[in-house]
Amino acid sequence: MLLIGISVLWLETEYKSRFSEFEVSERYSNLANYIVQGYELGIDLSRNQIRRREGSGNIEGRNDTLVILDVLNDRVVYGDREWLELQNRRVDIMFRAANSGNFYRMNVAIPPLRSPLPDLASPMSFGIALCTSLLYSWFFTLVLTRPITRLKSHVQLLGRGGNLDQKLEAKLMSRRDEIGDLASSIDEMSEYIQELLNSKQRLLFDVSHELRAPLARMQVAAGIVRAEAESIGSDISMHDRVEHEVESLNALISELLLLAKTENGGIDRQIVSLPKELNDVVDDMKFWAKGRIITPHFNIESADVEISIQLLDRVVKNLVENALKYSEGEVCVYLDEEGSEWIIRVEDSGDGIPDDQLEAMFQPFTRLQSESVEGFGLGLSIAIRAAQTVGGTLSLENRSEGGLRATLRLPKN
Amino acid sequence: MSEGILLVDDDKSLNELLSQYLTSAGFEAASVTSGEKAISMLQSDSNFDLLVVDVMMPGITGLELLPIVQSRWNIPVIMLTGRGEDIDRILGLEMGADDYLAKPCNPRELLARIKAVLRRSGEVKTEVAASIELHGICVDSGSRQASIGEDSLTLTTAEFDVLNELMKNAGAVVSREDLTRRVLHRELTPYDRSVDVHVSRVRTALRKHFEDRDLIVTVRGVGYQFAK
Repeated sequence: MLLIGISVLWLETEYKSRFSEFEVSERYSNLANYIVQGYELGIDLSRNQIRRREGSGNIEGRNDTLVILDVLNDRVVYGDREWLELQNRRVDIMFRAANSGNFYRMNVAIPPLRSPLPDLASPMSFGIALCTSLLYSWFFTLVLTRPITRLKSHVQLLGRGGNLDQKLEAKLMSRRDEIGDLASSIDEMSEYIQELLNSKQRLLFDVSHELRAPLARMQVAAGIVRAEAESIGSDISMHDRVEHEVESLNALISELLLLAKTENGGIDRQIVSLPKELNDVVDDMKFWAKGRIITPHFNIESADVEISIQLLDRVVKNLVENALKYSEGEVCVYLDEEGSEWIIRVEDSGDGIPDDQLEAMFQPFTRLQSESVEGFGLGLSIAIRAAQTVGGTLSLENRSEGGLRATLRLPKN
Repeated sequence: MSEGILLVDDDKSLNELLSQYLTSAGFEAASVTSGEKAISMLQSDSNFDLLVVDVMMPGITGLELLPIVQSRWNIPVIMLTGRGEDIDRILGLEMGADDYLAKPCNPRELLARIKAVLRRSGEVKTEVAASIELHGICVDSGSRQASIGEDSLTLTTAEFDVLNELMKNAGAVVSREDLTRRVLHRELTPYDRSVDVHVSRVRTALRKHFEDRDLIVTVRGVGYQFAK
């Protein structure tokens, strides 16, 4: 907008310089002489006559642009002097009548209609132009840019797996223009996606839940058969195998249920002190991973966050467990703050993950190729969803020193 | 005479299988499918030595049934909780059961827990009378009464044993493994929080009298310590 203002001023200057005094005298001198002739002869020339003449002289001006004064008698020969004085740009030329040699003054207002642009000669008008352009830009921002920006951030939120239940602002929806239409379409789309996701989660939850009861019965049945085999002293290794696989299925179902719950966001939240919870997790992990070194490096003493303790525990435990599983050495857990976020980092000194597979690790049932390590590949899927339900993020990167770094960012409020 | 066990779970087939399993292990097992039925069963025949109760049941839940059973019949209870889902919620609720087990569970694990709880309640009758007094808290292992001054503390069997065990070793750290072994008569297993639930309950009971300080200190990564 400012650029437009500047170019207007430039064009105006251009135009003004072209419309020079010389040009005015050239264009008007014939007409002026004609009028003065009539005046000196005492003929009252009708306006129409002059206008015709003016038109024929190819002067695209207004009737009143020309004012001729009799200098000797100080009389207005032609035109409206007062009007002329109101014009801020005019050309004033003294000339002598061809017949009498008397002095006359010819005043011509530079006709504004000649200019393709509004009159912007003074700094004030430039200011007005600037204000207008600012007003326009403000208007455009208000009417177009801002609602589009809002729509964009809403769509981005949906794209990042945000809360699809969140409605667009009523103000956007009630608009009767194309933006309003777009807003309604986006709203319908997100409702549809939400419905799809809900049914997927319901299915996941129901199936997992329903699988549990027969599995529990199977476990007991297997136990009965095993006890019988044991009592007659036959080989129970295959019974143990059945038991082990049932346990494994059980664990998988638990993970799936937790994943479904996390996606639903249906887990109670409470205020949790991060240093305390992290300490508890580290203690627990030390207890179960005997002989391994897990070192907490907490750089802040108090950090409260509203989250489900169960989920936070689960997420941090999972990150530490992964670090323990896939590396041999020390595992470090860091707690820091950065701007409006708490940062929890878990670092190991293992082999890391190939860069092109880092993103894929968050997909359910994705595991590193490793025969020695047990698991279902659900831990990180649960972890990233858990982070997202509280507006946080989870990322993985290979450390330049070697090993993997998992970074969990949780918003302070 | 074999010991009687009442299973309370809304899964009828599971009850039947478990009954069969426990019967073959030498118990007399009976089962009901709801909390309401458990109460009427106990009213007609309170001759059970132990109850195994599922937390999640329609109608009267396991959580609601537990205090009723404890106050009216004083029978030890093992609670079955949803695996990995509810244990933390239960930690928060501090129900006061004699032991907790995640469901579905290996029947051998359940059997081991049942035996441990029964052994403990059996031992109760034979224990040598001894009493300890510390910070005004008096623990009498003969009468199995804990009191502070005139007020007696209401504790479950397991909670009493936790307090007794910690006070016997006042000033020393008792590991979670040892505490589980001595109080629950079994080995500590991964993600087993039962002993922590009991300690937490005892703490809450003591806090009413010692508002300003925790007599039981958690020693990170090791266990618990009673202040000397």
